[in-house]
Amino acid sequence: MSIRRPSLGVGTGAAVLVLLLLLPPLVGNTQLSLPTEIFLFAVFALTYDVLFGFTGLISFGHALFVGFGGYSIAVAMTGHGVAFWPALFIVLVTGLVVSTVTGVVALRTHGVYFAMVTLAFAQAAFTLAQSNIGNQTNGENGLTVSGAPNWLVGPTSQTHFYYVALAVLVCSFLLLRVFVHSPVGRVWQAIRENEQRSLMLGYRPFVYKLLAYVISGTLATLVGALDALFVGAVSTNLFTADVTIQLLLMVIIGGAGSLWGAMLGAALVRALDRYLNDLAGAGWVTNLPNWLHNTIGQPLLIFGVIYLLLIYFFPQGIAGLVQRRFPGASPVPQPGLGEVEGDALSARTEEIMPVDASSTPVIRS
Amino acid sequence: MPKLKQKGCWMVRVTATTPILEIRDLTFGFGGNLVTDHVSMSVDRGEFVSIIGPNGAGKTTFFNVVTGVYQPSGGTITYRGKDITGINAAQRARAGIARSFQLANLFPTLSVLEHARLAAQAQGSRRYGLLRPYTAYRRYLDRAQSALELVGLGARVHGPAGALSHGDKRKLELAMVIAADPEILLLDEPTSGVSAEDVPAMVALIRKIRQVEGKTVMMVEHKMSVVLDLSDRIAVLHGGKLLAIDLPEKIQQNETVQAAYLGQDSI
Repeated sequence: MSIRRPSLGVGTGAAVLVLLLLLPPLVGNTQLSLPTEIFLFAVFALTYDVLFGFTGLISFGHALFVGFGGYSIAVAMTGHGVAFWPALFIVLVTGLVVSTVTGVVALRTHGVYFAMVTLAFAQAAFTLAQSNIGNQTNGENGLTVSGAPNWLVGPTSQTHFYYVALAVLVCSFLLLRVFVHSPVGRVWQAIRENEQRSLMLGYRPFVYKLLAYVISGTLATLVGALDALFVGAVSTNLFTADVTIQLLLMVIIGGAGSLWGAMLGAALVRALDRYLNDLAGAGWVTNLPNWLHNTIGQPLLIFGVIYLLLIYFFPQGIAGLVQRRFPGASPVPQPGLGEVEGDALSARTEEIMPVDASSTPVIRS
Repeated sequence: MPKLKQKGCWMVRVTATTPILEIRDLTFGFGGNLVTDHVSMSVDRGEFVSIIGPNGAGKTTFFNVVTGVYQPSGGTITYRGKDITGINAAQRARAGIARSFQLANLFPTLSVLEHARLAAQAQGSRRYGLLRPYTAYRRYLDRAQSALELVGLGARVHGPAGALSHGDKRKLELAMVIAADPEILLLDEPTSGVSAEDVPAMVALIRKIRQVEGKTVMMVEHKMSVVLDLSDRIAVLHGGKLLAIDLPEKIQQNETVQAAYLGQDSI
């Protein structure tokens, strides 16, 4: 049983980490906001990958956790003057509660219905924050986040925040790596491939999916709070489906079912977003003839084209590409792209099993 | 067949052994059609019961109700003296009722070894382990490896299951059942799709599981040679009803059965 991780991967990872540790003195404080943002989004992408890439759950409402983390810490610290560490503890608890409650409800459904229910939860949170419920969220204007320790925020602390975000990313990666290689993590992947069969082997898919959902949601809530501290403010935009879709893109571009792929996807999407926006505002672009200006000056248009090309040429993401070039590296599964069983299509009525046994019509005699 | 005489079911009944599986009036239907129609049978520990019947007789549905895929609308299933009618499929699997599927029902991108390992892990206490790598639990890996070697897939454990040939997928189904180390094996057409030269080896393997390891086996099968070769008793389903359940030679002489099933195609 060759389960040894490729030394190539570990070596590359270590080299990248050393480079990132040396980056602040090399580039200077002013250049650190993009990498810090990337680190935080990389954790969001990791948590989304646990759901989508490993367990096969397509959530449209992951933004719920991003926003909830941000609002929790803003309301606690700005609104009620709670100190930093207790506030972080409150975020942890709310993250656990919110992910468990929404998970128990949403995971009663499957497939596209699960996506819709999670979206509904995120939209509900958006509406609640928008309507300034209990006079806590300040409606459309959002909240500023104040009261964080000086070493973490403020003009001279970019380097500190950079290292904190990096440390959080490395810890999250290592923790989730332990989880996905555990017995539970292997069952997640079995559920992604064939939930009904995992049930017939003796696993209860609901419990395993809830575990994935709570782990993913709680970590995303914590990092949502960190992101709010980094930005210094929260707004209702955090709850929108745009946030979730961006995470989905990161995971697909990076390679669903690969943790380092998700991180790479996050880096690529955030960096592209930043550079394409810079490009749109650059002087030489605005001086171009109208038709060129209107195309190059549209970040989303260019991103869309790049995204299409990436998906066309690397359907399994960057991680899948690396896997093909270096077959020794850890294999990248393809959620939803698995080989269609030819004989499964010719199933006779007698053998068709419902996705959910409770949906079976049962005659009472 | 001296083996049958020895283990003749009437002997067992006289000695009042509690059956390992007792099914009473089991009923299940899809929207008005009873696909399992008041079926009753009892299976003794160590017994080999084959279930035959024409296509659409409800054989696989019967397995689905017994294993908990479907909730019956009536009747009871008693396993080792306990009523298991109300417990779910996962609990039944962990209680020792394992089944294989007639159609390849696998995890396409997971490795062959992982399939058998997951089957073994499901029976273990560490199936909720989150902090140690799955490779730390050698016993699941070892059991998976030996189950795969038993069915003849020992040399190709690392490839994805989706890439296996149809016949090899059938062997993998059997290996997963073996790795789970159950009390009862429910095999749904284990030899369908297996190449003709591999069938004797499969039959020998199923016989070995039953004789050496003392497992109880229920098998749905179309190949009558395989059924007659392995079975202590044969149950005949037709239109969801149990037509007869008896010794193989009695079933062959049974006129109702011949009319309903055996008459259609020569054995």
